[in-house]
Amino acid sequence: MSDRRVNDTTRRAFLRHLLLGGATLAAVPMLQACSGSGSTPAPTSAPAKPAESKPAESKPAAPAAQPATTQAPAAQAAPAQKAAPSSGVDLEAAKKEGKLVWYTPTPDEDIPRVLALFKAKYPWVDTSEYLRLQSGKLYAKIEPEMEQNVQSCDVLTLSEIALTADFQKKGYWMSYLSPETATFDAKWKSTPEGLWTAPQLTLAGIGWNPKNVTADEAPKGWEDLLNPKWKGQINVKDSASGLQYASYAMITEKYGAGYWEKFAAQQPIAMAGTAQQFEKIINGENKINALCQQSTFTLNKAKGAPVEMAFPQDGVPQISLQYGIVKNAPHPNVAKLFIDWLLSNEGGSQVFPETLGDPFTRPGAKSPQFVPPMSELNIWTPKDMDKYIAEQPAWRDTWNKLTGM
Amino acid sequence: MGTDVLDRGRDPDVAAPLAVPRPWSERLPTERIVVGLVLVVAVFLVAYPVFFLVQVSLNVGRPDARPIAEYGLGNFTAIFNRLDWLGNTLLVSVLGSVLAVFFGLMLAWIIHRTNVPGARVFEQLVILPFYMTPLVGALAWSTLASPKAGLVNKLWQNVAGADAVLLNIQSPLGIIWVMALYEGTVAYMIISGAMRTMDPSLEECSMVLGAGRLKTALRVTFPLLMPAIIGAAAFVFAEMMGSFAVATILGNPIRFFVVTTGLWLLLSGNPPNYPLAAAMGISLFAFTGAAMWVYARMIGGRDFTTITGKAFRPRRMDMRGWRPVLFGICLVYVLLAAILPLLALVMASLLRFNTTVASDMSWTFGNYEQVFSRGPTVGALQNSLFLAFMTASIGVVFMGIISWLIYRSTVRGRGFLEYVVMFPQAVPRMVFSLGLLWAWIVMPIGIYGTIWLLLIGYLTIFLPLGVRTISGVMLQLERSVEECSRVCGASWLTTMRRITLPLLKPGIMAAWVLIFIVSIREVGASILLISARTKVIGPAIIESYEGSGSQLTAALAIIQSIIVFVALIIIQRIARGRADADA
Repeated sequence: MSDRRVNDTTRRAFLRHLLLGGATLAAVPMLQACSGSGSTPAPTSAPAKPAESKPAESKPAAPAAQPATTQAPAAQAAPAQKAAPSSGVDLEAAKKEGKLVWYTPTPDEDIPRVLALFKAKYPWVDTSEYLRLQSGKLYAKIEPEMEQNVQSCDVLTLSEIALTADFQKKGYWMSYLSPETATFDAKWKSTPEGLWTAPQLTLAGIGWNPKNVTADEAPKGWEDLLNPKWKGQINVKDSASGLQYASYAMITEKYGAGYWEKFAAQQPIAMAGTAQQFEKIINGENKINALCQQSTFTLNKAKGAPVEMAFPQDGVPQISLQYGIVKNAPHPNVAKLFIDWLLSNEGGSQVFPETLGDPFTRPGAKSPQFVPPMSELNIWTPKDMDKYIAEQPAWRDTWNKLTGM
Repeated sequence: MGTDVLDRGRDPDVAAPLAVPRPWSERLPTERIVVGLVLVVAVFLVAYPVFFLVQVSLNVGRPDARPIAEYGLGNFTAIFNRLDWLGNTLLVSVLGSVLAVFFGLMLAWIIHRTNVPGARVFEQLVILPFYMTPLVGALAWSTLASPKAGLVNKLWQNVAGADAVLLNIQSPLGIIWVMALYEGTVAYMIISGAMRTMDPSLEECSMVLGAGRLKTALRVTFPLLMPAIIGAAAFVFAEMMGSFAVATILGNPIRFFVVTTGLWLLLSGNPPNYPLAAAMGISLFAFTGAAMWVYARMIGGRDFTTITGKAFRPRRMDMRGWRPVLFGICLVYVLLAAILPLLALVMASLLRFNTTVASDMSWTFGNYEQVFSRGPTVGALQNSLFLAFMTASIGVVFMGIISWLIYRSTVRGRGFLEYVVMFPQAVPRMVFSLGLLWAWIVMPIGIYGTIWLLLIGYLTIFLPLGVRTISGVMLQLERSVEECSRVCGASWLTTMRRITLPLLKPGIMAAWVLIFIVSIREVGASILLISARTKVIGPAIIESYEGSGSQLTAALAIIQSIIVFVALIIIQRIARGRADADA
């Protein structure tokens, strides 16, 4: 009855509310345009410092830390001193910054261990802030942050070369030529040098469970995967995986596209994560891991899981992890110290093979646990990087189809 | 903002039919300001990020082009290229919703309307599955019942031979089952909110006139609960359309794909195809919109009021001989939905590496150590609890008013508001969070990178849940109760505070608890809204699932569940203490 009555006032009131909302919406692109000019880095970074109560904290810490740092170069005179002066990192400025913010896809439980090693060398650095996300999602976050100039990140690690290249194209890397960079092969660094360096690799091979697959029947090379007895028993990764793309590109280069028709007939199962691939091998649901990520293999093997892995002689696909400092990094000098340390023989060896279980691309570096010496592995790299990057989008459709999506 | 638009001395709108003896200026400003503000904020919260999503979805040029060079509708037709995905999605969502609502209704009735033994304990137990993200539930069920390696099937193989499969969770039915168990909790909460506030006199009438207990339940109780039941169905359906975790874990191994599995893939890896993902996400709203329309049609013009001015006490039906049966049903549900998966998770969390092969199992507490050795775990925990408390507390007030606006006010366009409010549910979380990120990063108010960004995000994405939960009860409330208060001279605010809100208490409490839980376990939207300084515990679960293995994920999930459990117990204690003190 009475409640059915709708009077005009309310209609108009509502329309006005909507108009107001519409006006606000219309204002958004304008706001975007204004802030896009990069004049507002302050809002997030400036109030953060007092809120962190950092000055209060770092001041008492600094004098205490001083003796430790001056002792450190004395103790390990050669590497530290060579790095510090020639790199031109201003230690005093770095101490004033006192902090490092790292965005990386490194597994969450490993990051504190890496940062603890860094802190052991530079005890005055606050390493409590980092952000861990998978490369794709990390990029979805850092890219608009850079665009709006609100990033809090100093050092960025990406595991997808296409994203790194895009970041470079947009001019978001800060140029810093670490004295350590010269040691690295040209394929592991940016052109021009000094934007990013790739000290860390992720390798792939073929994995199986020795309780379900004997050493004799286990596939040794990529063509062995086409044996009909593995039909419905093979797992791979889905098209979000850069490593899977590397594997595809390598095998196509060696055996032609015809390989994949036969491979599709094996009805491979695409998984989202490397951990699940291993679980299905360990519990016997699948027999062959056709994109066996070495670091996960090392991790599982070290825990005593029944896994074996082959590094095929006809080629080992890899993706590298690129490390660089971002433009307008809030703590550029600490970031430089971090990069110097990661690329150094001392720091890199501790971090990559020992802590993360990944190969270190510095010449002469030792291999991670359960992995043959790097010199014995036939590690594949794309011949034409631009072409490799350009063909990835189309590959995703190919791979989705091949895995039954 | 809203005030100058509203305060122009127009005729009072909502209260117009009531012959009110006081001048408008004494009562109406509060109502108009609050209502106007809530309306604008709600529309803004949803429309602002959606604006960015729509903009991106129209990009038909290079997916990563910014600013967008080519506009077109191409992405919106792409969904028709994958009709098989769409078919699978609808199959799973429709059957899943039916099953979930069935579970929810059955449990709500048994626990709140019958004298089943242990009702109070069951009340706590049946919502246990909801404490964990659906991903974890799917993980637990995969451990229990995957065809070759599931524990249930391993046991069965001892009896029936090597290749026998008793239960296969990796099937469309398995996906429906796991989804329904989780969403069943939501349905239960929404329906039980309404069930608790029912006047039993109608049921008594039916019994007096000779209908049996079951017949009374089917012919009187359930039809009266229609708003809550269909509301729950509409909500659960939307949630299933937009969820991806269960389908990923249980569907991918058998190559059974749904729209969201495809969407997830579009968003991960390189190159991420945001335009296509956004368009597909928005397209999903067509289905949620349709569900909402059906809901509105079935609710519209009918009377569901059971809360009237007359005094009543919800009374439980004496089920006599049926009591053990009902008890059994509850017990089986709790076993299947909560206890078994939890045991599977506890087991997984104590394994050095995840396996179901008994001879390979080696036990450790290392996973828990690892979780706590992570630097920011404690900080993330505090943030999560703070956010959950804030989201739930601000949320229920905000969503309660929206619900009142939609179902009790005469504001023109309230039907439209209903659709606006449901939008965040339709679009998969991960897609919506892109819109949130883009929207709030350009807002030059210094909110980006702070915890308040997460709060805004949560308030937006949980709008549908809160509004649906409260509305179920709202529709039972007879208008005359409020009108009475107004006629007696109470202001709008007083009426809200003293009459409407107290009567809605069961719905509001249910909504509070639900929002608290979903905030703590939120993953999809948080991933892009956290910063190096402000983290929450949810995203780590997915991230560790993909990278580190199920044993760590299980440990994280167990810790998360314990936190939710303890937090809820404490909050309920406090709430109960307050209520006792009041009385």
